[in-house]
Amino acid sequence: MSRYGGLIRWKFAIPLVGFIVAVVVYVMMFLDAHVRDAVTHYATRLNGAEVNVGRLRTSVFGGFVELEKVQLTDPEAPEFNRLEWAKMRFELSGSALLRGKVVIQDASLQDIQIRSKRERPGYVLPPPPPEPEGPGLKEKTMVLLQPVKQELMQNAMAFLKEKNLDNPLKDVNWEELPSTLAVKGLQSELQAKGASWKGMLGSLPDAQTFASMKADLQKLKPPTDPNQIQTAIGQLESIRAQAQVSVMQVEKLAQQLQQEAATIQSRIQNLDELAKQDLAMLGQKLKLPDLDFKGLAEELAGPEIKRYVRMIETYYAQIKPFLESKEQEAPSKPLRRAGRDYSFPLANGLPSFWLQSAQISSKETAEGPLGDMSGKITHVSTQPELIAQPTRMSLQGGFRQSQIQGLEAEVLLDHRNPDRSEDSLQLKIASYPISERVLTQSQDFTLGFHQAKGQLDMRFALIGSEVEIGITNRFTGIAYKVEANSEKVKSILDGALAPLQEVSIEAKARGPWTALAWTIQSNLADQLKQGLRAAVGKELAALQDKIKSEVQIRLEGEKKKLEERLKAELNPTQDQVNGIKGQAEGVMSLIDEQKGKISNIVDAQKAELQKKADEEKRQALEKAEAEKKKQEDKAKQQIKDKIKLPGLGR
Amino acid sequence: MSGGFPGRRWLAPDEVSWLQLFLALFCGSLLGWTPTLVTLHTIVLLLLLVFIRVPLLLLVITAAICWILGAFAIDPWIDALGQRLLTAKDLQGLWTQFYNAPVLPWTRFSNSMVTGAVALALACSPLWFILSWKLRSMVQSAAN
Repeated sequence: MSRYGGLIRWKFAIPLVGFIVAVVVYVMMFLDAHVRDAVTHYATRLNGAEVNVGRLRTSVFGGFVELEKVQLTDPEAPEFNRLEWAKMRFELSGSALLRGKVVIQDASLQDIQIRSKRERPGYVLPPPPPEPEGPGLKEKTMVLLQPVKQELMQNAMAFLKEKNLDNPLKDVNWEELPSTLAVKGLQSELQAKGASWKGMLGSLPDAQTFASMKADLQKLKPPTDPNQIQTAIGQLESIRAQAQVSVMQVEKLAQQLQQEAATIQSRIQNLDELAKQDLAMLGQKLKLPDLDFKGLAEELAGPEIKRYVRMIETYYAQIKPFLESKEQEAPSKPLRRAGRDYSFPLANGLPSFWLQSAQISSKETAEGPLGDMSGKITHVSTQPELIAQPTRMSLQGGFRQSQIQGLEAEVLLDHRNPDRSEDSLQLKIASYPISERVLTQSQDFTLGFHQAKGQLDMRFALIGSEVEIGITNRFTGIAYKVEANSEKVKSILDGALAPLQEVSIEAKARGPWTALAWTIQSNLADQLKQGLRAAVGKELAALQDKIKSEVQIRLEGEKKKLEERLKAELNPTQDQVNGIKGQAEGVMSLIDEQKGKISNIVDAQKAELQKKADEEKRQALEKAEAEKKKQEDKAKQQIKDKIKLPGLGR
Repeated sequence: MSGGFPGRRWLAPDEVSWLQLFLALFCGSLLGWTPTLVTLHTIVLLLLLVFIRVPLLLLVITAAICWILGAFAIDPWIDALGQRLLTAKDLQGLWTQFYNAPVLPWTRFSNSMVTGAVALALACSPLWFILSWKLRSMVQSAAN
């Protein structure tokens, strides 16, 4: 054996045995406490408020985990638990654990309570900081029903409360109104047009040009010599061409003036259209109530519906990603890369997590706080595609002490086909109590229920990315909560609500996750609309007439000023253009006159020449005729001479 | 007798075998390149190192150098190597068997960094072999 020693350190067997003993002791004595701390820590983070686990027991050889007295603090009311159960037991599959999978063959949840009083208020975690913008954030924070501005009722109540509406426009900034802005625009445009027109006038030929043309024309004497006619006509055509250009310039400007003036005139007339926008803007600024009360149902019932929609939003943000877990980046270590976790499941292999079956049972006692519940959850898994059955959950029962009765829930989550998941939820509560529920509120009034009994029927279906939601909520045995700092407002609200013994809210939504189209209806909104219309309508109409008349007066004044300004800019320009046009036309008529004279001379000379030519032609013809006769006579004589027979004459 | 380089005896004591040197280098590189110690094979390796006599200083220095190398230089390559192996078509059957076999999933072989680190340490085995052989020769010549 070398001095350094062999490969195996035999003397370390004893410390190793000691280590194994320590591990066994730790597992037996401390593991449960440490697992309980870990469960409490992570459950608190998930719940958003303190979670307590009374006792946690694990059994390595028995293959189970048992939790007792689990309390989930309600983050909105930390002195209560939102849920509490006495016992929870998970039977784990040992062979699956060896394969690194968590398979819960059987689980049970016993003795459930809701809204149970805590011994001490639980602590609530601060809201998490907003996540930086990035891919997937929009999906994580999906809001299916956006909050509605609570302004319809507020405006109506503020209007009713306001006593001094004699001079409602005293604080209005007229400069902001669309018509005022348009008038200003027209004023500056008119100014610019005036300058532009003046500039164009400068480019036209002046009176001197036309005088010079006239002088040139007058100098042009009708020629007597036919050889000068062509020269005279050339000079005349040259002057005519100059005059023609000037006339065209003038006519073009005159036409442009006419068109631009007509456009501005039309815009001045159209200012009346802007009066409607002025009235709408003033209505908003003065917070005048809209008598249509369109959206009042959303305003009143939106927050109530939102309570149930939040359940679906939570499902989308937390449960759906869990059911659709894919290969993902592992949690990173400082300085080192985390790598990517892959999965290689067999077709019928085990998923990473699989809750095969869980029984929910709770039996109420005579005076105890327990709920009377029964239910079953089956096949919850991180890889549903590996499991033959979809996730199902059913729950029935009630909590007599909390006055919740007829609770029925059926949930189906089918993600076995990753390309087309099908989820559905049906939740019915036959009766549940409501106390001190505020529907809408402002500094002027509060409207809600002191007490009522609710009845809920909620259906939700998600197929692929298409969602269908239907929520019906009915309230009976209502004690309305109406508070107002104006007697008038209070009496109007009391009067409107008195005949309404039952309130119903119906909400429906359909469409893709990202753009759900909601329809919300409520008889409460309809009743309030009627009451408010009756109360507000007359006063509002008078006020609107007053505002309309004021706006019209102001607008008419502005229109008149603008028209005067248009005339002031347009008329002098048009006069000047007409003057220049007259001069140009004068030159043109002078040219025509000169041209006529030359034309007469040319015609006279043409006639004389024609006469002379005709005479010459006649003389030539006569001469030709005489010559022809002479020739004929001569020919006749020669023939006579030739045909004289010899001897006849002897 | 002492020879070679200063502190040689701390790294490679006299009469240390090449196998001990090789194991120190191999285990050190494996521990250094694997980004987490919470895997079955690293825990088993650490337990084995209690039993196996290797030059601990050499092992620690190798692990430290490999960790620093990984953190500041070659982690992307380790990750890429792991991803390549885990997505290789020919190996899918093997990974599927490993994934569904008992115990093996606890090695976290399905993580690209873990597989990449093991593959790199194995790929460097010839280098560790040569290095340990040379080191052993140096120790022997110094001893003689």
